[in-house]
Amino acid sequence: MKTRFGPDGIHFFDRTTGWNLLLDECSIPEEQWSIAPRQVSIALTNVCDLSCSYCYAPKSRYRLELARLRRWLLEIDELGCFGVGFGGGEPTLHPDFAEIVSFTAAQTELAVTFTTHGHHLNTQLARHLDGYVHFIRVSVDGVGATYEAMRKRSFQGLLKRLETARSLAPLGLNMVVNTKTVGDLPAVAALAETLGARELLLLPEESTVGRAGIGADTLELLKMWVETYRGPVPLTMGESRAASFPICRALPKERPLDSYVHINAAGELLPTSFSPLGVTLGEGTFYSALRKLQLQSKGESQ
Amino acid sequence: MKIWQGYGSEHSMNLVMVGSFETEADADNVQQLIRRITSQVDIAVDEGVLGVGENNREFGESLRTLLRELDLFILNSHEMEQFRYDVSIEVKGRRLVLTTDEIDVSAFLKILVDQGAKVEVYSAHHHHGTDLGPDTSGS
Ligand code: SF4
Repeated sequence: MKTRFGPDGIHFFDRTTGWNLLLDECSIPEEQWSIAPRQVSIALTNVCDLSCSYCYAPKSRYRLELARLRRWLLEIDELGCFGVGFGGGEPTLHPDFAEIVSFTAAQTELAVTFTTHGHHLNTQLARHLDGYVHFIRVSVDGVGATYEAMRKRSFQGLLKRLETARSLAPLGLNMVVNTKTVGDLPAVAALAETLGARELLLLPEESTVGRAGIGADTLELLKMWVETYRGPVPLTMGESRAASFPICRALPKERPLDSYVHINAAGELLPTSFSPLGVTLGEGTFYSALRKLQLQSKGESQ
Repeated sequence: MKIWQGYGSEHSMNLVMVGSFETEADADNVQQLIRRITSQVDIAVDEGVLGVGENNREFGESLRTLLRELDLFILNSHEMEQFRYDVSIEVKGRRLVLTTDEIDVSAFLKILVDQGAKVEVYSAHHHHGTDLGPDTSGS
């Protein structure tokens, strides 16, 4: 069980069960607030072997090496962070993925989660990860032909991998919702239910150059579906559209760098995964980079 | 007391707002304009006229004067705190590119539209390869 002090109160977290308890009746003086963010996401590699239309083939082939990762992970843990989420690219394509995961679980008290397309979760990798993962997020944008059209991989193959994932750790499904996938909402929710998934994260596709995005009609369908969904799997919403959906914020007073920072595959510490406001971690400590980032973002907002 | 189950979230907003203008000078001017409002909002916060999370009902005199001078009558006082958020703004040719993790961005949207931009808003979590924000690809 880990504890953090912050603007919202005293927060307890158990990585094995994922339970959070917040005592928000008390107010904690600022000098006692935990230094590290609650969550750190780490892009282990930029490499991915899929080419989903809403992603792109990475321009760089950066990846983080094990020795530096180990040092940062120990530090992140000590500074009071609750968990790390490994991502990418496709994190399972990092040559030391299994070792990074097992090291984090064994040598720190951090919750270990990762986001994957799932297709490399074979029995061999599963054996290496067994007992070291607390939560897995798998991208499933639809079932059958819908899935195959989006991800260009076999859906049957995915189902097999999902079984493997499920045998390893509690599972969440991530679904990009657009005109092509919205009709599959009941089927993906049913799949999530069958798998005993802990969460279904809905990510309405946004509009951008060359892509139409979700569209008002589809968004309306999504809303109606969310409102009428009575299944057992908790729904969560990508933040971009969260405002128009019923959501609750557990820690409303958190400032951005209290809740989350991102380390990209090039070894930069960023307030978000896209931000231009980064600090190179280099061979230095996570703490010194975090302090720099805190000062930098303070300067920016002044 | 609150109690819930979950492993935090790896998903942040990653909002990208792009305003395309007719000329580079237009984009530059709007960046300047946003900078001026931001500085004035900072002063108003320091002076205790405005607060963040306070549901501000008043602009305060200096801010009102500036907005009048800028001929900007589209913003309301609640929106002023948005200028205190962690927002970064860059001009790339005729485009002004705003990136943030916030969802409350109406003030910026209004300014861009008011100043003649064609505006696009999306999350970089879903859309990569637009050259408007670093690599955010994730499985
Ligand atoms: S699986 Fe994920 S990282 Fe790979 S191309 Fe698709 S969205 Fe991008």
